[in-house]
Amino acid sequence: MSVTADPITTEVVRNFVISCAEDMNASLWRSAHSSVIYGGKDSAVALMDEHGNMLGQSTGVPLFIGAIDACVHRVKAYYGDDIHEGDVFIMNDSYLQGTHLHDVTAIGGIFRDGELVGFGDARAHWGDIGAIDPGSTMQSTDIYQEGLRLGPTRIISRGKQIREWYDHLRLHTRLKDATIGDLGSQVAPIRTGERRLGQLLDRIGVPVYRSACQNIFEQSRRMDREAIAAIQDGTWTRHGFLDDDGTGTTPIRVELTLTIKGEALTVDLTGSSSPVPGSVNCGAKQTESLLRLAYKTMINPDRAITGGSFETMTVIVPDSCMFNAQEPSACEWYFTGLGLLADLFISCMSEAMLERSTAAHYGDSMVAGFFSVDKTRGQWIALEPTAGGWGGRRDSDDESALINLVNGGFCNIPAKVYETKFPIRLEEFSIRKDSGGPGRYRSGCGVVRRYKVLEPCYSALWFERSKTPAWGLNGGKDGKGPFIEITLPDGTKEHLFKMRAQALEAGTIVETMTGGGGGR
Amino acid sequence: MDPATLKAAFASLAETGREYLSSEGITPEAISYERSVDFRYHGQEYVMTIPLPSGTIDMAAVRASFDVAYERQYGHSSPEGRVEMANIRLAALGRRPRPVNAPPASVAARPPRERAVHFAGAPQKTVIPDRNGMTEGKVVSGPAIIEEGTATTLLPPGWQARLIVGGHMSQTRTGAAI
Repeated sequence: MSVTADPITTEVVRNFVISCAEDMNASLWRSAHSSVIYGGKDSAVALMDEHGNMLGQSTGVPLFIGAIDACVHRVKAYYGDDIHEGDVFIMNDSYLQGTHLHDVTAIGGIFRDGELVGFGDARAHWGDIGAIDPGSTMQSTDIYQEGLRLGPTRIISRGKQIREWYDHLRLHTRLKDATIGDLGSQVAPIRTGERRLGQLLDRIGVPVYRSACQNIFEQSRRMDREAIAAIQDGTWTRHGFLDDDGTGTTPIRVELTLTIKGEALTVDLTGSSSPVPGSVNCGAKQTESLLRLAYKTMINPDRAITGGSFETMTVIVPDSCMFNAQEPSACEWYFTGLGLLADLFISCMSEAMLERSTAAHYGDSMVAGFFSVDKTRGQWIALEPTAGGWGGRRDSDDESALINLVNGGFCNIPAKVYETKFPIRLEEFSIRKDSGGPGRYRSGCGVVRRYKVLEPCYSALWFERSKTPAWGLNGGKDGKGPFIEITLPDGTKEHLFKMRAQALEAGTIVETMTGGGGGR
Repeated sequence: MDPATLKAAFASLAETGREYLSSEGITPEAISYERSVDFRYHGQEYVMTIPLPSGTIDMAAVRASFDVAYERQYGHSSPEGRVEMANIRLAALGRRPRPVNAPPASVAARPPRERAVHFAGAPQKTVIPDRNGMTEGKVVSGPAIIEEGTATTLLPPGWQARLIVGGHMSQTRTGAAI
């Protein structure tokens, strides 16, 4: 007789896997060595079933979560039955798992009495992966310039670190011990997931747990089907432009067509640019992950993602498209187009679901970086995303100074960290007045951050959406685009949006302003 | 770190704690100390607090107990990795004599009420007494709902409640539980 989980047990399991994922993420953050993980929260973890179906997740960066299951599928496809208790695998291949090579995913099987019952995954940003520039490379034109690239790779075998892999990884990064420490912090959530899930299985046993998982997947399927069926049918197309691909000055077209028919939602990216020479190409898994995230902002947003989610959604990405990157396309700044893609998706959905319609937000991660090597600090890298304004909603104003949609809990670096760990003084952090688009409902405003460089160092900037700033809806006006001013010690001023590893003298001031959202 | 420096730092904290407790009237023989150190691997932000046994400080043993605690918490450790001490902690404890278990002041009780409450699917006549009306030795038998200013106590059928020394309520199962 098969065992079934009753509704109460199912609900207990559903909430348990979410809290388990939160514990897993806490163990990652608390044992990390790099501020981009413990402070910036540039990470995501997931608890999966033994087939790689999502059960619980916890994020700093929600953009990661829709692609993290792909890593388990890749490890299973590559290693088959050769996956054992205590093994840990890593991978970062941009074409297989999406994202850029900095984001390394650690995957480990969770076993119960010798039987595989699940997987723990932890993706985190490594500050340096041995690319042509320290930290993030700015003008890469193929993936070989972007650092070490790994398909599924076993680095811990039955609990024992494979020494030559650890040595190999250490040799490929400028940050050495910090990177190896961060790798250790990615093993912690897998072990935490193993321990916490074990506690649940002590109480209910594997058969009841598996039955509860199936119930959870079925709930998600049903809720998604009902939600899509309730939306009016139709087809909508929107497009916008990225400023450039990081190497040239040509705007890059991004186009999205949404079709809703009954219980099926289809997103088609035909019309978007073909692969570009610069590094704003994005692996198909990550593109799908972004669309899953955008979907989740509109469909059952308060329900966790599970193995039953997204079955109502079909994503069509043409073979030759910047959003379906193939070897050797560069992917370092893969997320540049994703904020715009999210805005285009939400714009189409705003036609279909008037009650949730929202104008566009400031869009991209707007990254500011400072780095150097010196005697006291060694190699140091301070890299942060910048908040901006969000679009007006149907019935209320929206937020100022909020991180962009793809980044969720990803944080900027606090002034005290700049001033204690790096030779940078944050002289101003304020709301950029009147940068949000006017409308009946005001959009949010962007922010001003003014950095003073106290010792000679290098700076890199990646700001976007000056050509397609956040647009308004229903007569609401567009928000302002970003603006940057660099004041050299002699008083000369420079204006630009992207800057690669430029040497700055002490006393240089870098002032960044992010855009506001669209009015409504 | 030089064990002598650490020992001196703990001694200084102990002296501060001893002064606080003395000013509160605690006698020297009633004071004890608990020492601990917050460790992390070099470069980390968060720490783990590791207790330090009393007596001579054995740095190698303390370091090893950090690795063990880290392994237990995070599932891996780096016994060869550099560690740093972020904080040292000392708790000065003053033992006080156990306070007298004084009975609460007597308060006028409301008269008991009564109504039907469902237990195991069937209504039962249930008494609702005011706890202020309970006196030492007097037994309330379930089903009952005992009310007071800060709590409501459900006493199911098959249970008895009575007051004991100090005004505390003791509940005992006397019959089959439902």
